[in-house]
Amino acid sequence: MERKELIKQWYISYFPKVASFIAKRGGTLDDARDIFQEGLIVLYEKRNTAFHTNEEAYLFGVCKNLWFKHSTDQARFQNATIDPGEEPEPTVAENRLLQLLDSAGKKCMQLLQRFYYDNEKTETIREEFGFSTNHSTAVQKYKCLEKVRETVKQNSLSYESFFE
Amino acid sequence: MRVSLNKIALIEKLIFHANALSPEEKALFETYSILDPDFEQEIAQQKITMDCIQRSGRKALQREIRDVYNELFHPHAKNTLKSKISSLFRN
Repeated sequence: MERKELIKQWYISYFPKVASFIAKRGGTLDDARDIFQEGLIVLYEKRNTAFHTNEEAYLFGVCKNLWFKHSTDQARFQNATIDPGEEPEPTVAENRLLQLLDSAGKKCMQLLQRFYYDNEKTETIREEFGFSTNHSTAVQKYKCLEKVRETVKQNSLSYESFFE
Repeated sequence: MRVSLNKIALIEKLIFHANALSPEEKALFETYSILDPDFEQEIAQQKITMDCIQRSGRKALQREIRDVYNELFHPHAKNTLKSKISSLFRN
């Protein structure tokens, strides 16, 4: 299933329960949206690794925890106002990051993300990107990795300076 | 595969599956550690690279999750989910 379709299915299947939970505790639609979206990130990143339990129960548990954390934070900083719709300004490190990634080219970054963020199987990526063999897919991955790493080297970026 | 790419592959395994290195890979790792003065720095640079990829992957996913929400909850959108959710927050 295409990722966009998967996300849509998650909204349709799981958002009502989470939203109902938050609404009953005095939360707003914006609260429900933000918490559910954060929950989806956790679900996505863990779906192939740590848990083999019921997906819905897992996501609901994550969202409940996020809600409790949100409520505690809100009680603590009652006077602080945050506009949830406003994107935070990118930091210097983030700008540096984007610059770095651009240097590898869009196709390369998509390939690397499929491997290292989506944890997708080589076989699936080979078909998706039209490579002839798993070996040539792996070679392309390492070439892309070499390109980005070279930029890291040229900019003499240390781990600390990069993620300040 | 080129020697430099093999080295990248070795570092990748070192980062993600250090316990699964074969005896040959372990020997190769030790050889690089002793003889190649840049090896340690290359490992550090590759770790940064991996972090970059994962962060940008997460950003792309966040965007996609928001886009799907905006589509489903667009002011002109009409669907069961939107009605169901809106009814929860009516008061």
